[in-house]
Amino acid sequence: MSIKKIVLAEDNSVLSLLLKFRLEKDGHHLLMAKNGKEAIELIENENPDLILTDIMMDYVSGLEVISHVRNKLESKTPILVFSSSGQEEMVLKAFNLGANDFMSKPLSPNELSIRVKRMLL
Amino acid sequence: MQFTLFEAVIWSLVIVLAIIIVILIFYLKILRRNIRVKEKNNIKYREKIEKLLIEYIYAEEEGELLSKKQKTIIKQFKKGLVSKRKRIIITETFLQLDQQVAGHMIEQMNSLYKKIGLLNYAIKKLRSKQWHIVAIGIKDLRHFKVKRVRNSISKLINHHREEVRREAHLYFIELFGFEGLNFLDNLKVPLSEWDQILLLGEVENFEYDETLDLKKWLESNNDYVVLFVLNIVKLFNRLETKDTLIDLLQHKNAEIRIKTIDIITHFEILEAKEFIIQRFSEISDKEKVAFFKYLEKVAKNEDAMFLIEHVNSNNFEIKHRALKILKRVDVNLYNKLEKNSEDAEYNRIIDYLDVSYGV
Repeated sequence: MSIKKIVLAEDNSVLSLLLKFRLEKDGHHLLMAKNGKEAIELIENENPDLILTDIMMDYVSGLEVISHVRNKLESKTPILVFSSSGQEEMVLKAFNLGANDFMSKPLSPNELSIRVKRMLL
Repeated sequence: MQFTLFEAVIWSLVIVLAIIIVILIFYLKILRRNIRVKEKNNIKYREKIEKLLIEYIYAEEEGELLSKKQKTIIKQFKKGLVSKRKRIIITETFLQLDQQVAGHMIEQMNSLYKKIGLLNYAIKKLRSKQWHIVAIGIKDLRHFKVKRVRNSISKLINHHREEVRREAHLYFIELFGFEGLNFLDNLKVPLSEWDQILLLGEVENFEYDETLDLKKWLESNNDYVVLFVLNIVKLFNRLETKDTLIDLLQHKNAEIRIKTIDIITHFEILEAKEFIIQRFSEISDKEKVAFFKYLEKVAKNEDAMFLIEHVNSNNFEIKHRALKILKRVDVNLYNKLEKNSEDAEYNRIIDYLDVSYGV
């Protein structure tokens, strides 16, 4: 099985590190972004197999990342969004923009691992 | 070259000021440099702590209480706790992750929090003379779900600072669920609207508990407790408190009476109707308006005469609602009403109701 490239956009540095650790254990190659702007740069340069993004981030939000991928890059790369409680409206917007799946925080890294495997099939 | 005395004084002042400015420039440069170095060190230490924390979480080995690697990491954490600066970074890092992950990892982090001794520092904060340190201590203990300090925290529920009280109340509700609401028994101080919103946000997540006795709090001497519990009654549809709600219609606090009418409207408790009608002349305008909102839901044909008495009320809202309800419960009587009056508001309401379909 080839190593899959995943862009992870998350502004919480510890959570980001934890998820990186977990997904690298599964054999994936993680590309980390601290905000939406960095995520867009990585997506454009690296052409990942999967995008994991938080909805609320500095500079460029997760919704803008999804919109950029679907509308500007016209890419079909699967996107999973992380949301916190109270962001249900945002999740709906994310789905309307073209997100494929969502997970609400607090996250279970093991559940994420399973979802990622399923999305990369 | 000879200076006069005046010139000599001026030159001396210029030189002294120039020296002070040069010293200040150097001082500020050093200060800025130190702040940058400190910030850099903090970032570096934070990164180290984040890495250690993640390594600890993933270093768990089956069948072992603590793996060798975990023991080494604990030692490294303990070493950092001596410095206040590092201790703050460690606590912040723990909190940063604590709110973002679920399941077994939370248990691991909570156990690590105790093992490295951060718990003792948080408990120590409860004894601080500075209120904000006490509030931070409670917050830390709440986040790490430390239940064994409940006795110490119960002494803070009536603290003179609302920030401390708020943290203490949240501690009980978040950690003990419905049982935690027992702090209301001893609450002697106000619960602000904001506090109530925060607490209700937590209560909303509770599993419904039929055995919870809300009646005792509806009879509390603290009006804020009564108002807060009325919200819980509505939230969980606790209709068995009906008799106590009717008693509350005579409460000395007008805010409670109005809130009670709102709850009675929510439940559509018919028994309250006659009770309020009998006391109608004694109640405030706000209560009257609340009562008419209730009547909008429960009024029947038999209430037509009561409504007729209020179609000429001085209060626009009462007048409007009385006419609107009357049209619904007894349209014949409504049609017999004088359509033109000297009261312009009355005429406008009638006009509006006559051309509105379904009202």
